[in-house]
Formats: sequence, C-alpha cells, structure tokens
Amino acid sequence: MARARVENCIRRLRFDADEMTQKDLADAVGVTRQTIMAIENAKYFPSLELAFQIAEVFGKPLDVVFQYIKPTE
Amino acid sequence: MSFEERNTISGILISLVSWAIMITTLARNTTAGFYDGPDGPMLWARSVLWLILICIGIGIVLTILFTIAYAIVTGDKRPTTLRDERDGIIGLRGIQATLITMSIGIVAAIATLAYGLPLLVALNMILASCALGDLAGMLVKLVLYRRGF
Repeated sequence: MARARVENCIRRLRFDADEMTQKDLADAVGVTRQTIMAIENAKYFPSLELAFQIAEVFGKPLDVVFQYIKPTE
Repeated sequence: MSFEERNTISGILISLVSWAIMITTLARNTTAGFYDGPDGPMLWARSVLWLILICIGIGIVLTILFTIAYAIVTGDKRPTTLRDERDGIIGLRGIQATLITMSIGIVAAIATLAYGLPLLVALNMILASCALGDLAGMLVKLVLYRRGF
C-alpha cells in the first residue's frame, strides 16, 4: 500500500509571485533557505504554523499550497 | 549551508580533536602505570576533569577559527545564525542517537563490572560511550542535513 503524502506547489507559486527566490520566501517566514528547499522537494513537512505562514505570503488558502494525497490500496 | 549544519561539521571536527587528545593522554598515563593502585580511579577522575577543561578551551578556540574561516572562504561577512523548526527536529534526532549510543556504553560498562573486570575498564567504557554518543549524534545530524531531512 502506497503511503500518504503531502505535496505542495510552492515552486510554481514562487514563480508566479514575480519569480520570488527561495531566500526571499525563507526570509518572509523566518526559516532558512535549506528548509524551504526541503519543503519544496517534499523531504520535510512543515509545522501547521509554518504552512499557514507560507500560504499567507502567497495570499492563498492552505489547501491550495499544500495537498494531502491519500494512501492508495 | 545553514548555521546549524555548519555547526555540526565544526562540531564533528572539534569532537575528533578533543577525543584524540583525551584518548592519547589517558592511554599514555595508563601504560605508564599512573592509575595503578587504590588511588587509581581518583587519579583517573582528576585527569579526566582536567582534560574536559582543556577540551572545552580547544572547542571554543576552534569554533571561533571555523567561523572566521567560513566567513573568509564564503565572503559572507555576516553569516546567519538562524535556527528554525527543521533544525530543532534534526537536533532531536541527533540527541536520540547520542542517548542510544551512551546507554549501550553504560550497560556494557556495568557488564564489565559484573564479570569482574577492573573499575578503570568500566570508567573508560563510560567515557568512550560519551565520545561515541556525541559523535554518533552529530553524524546523524549531518546525514539528515545532507539528505535534506
């Protein structure tokens, strides 16, 4: 059975937001650029607080930025 | 490279230098018979306390040197000292590895006493488990940083 996972579209949202850099986003939410990179690559899942902060930077609802993919049989 | 990742790498190097000094000093004193006799454990403890102080001093000096070297190599005059939630979780994984390694060492030290080996062997095992635990924790952290998490 495939595991549940959380995907995100931060990379596309950054591109749409006037090609915002990872560093700009990191500075806006108070984390390191490496953490943003890890989130984008789905290697690290942020806390709910950080997820809301990221969504707020792009002015989008949380479920637009992060998507929960249910496990498949 | 984030502040904590850089700290982890410098921590590994500092740990290796410190423990190399400690092991060579204790091994030299043991070979010379310095810890023989009933006062052996007391003399061993005094040696270790002095070595801990020396290693703390070396650690401070090396940390400053690493920070300066990093600033020179990268040209970053004001390196960030930001520590975020991912650093916190990676730090906890490191502590977990440290505690597991140290626990194994302490149980092994108790086992040596149970089988009638000298007290100094048990004390050295506890010290070694601290060294290995420290190193294991930092290596786990480094692997997690290199992998992304």
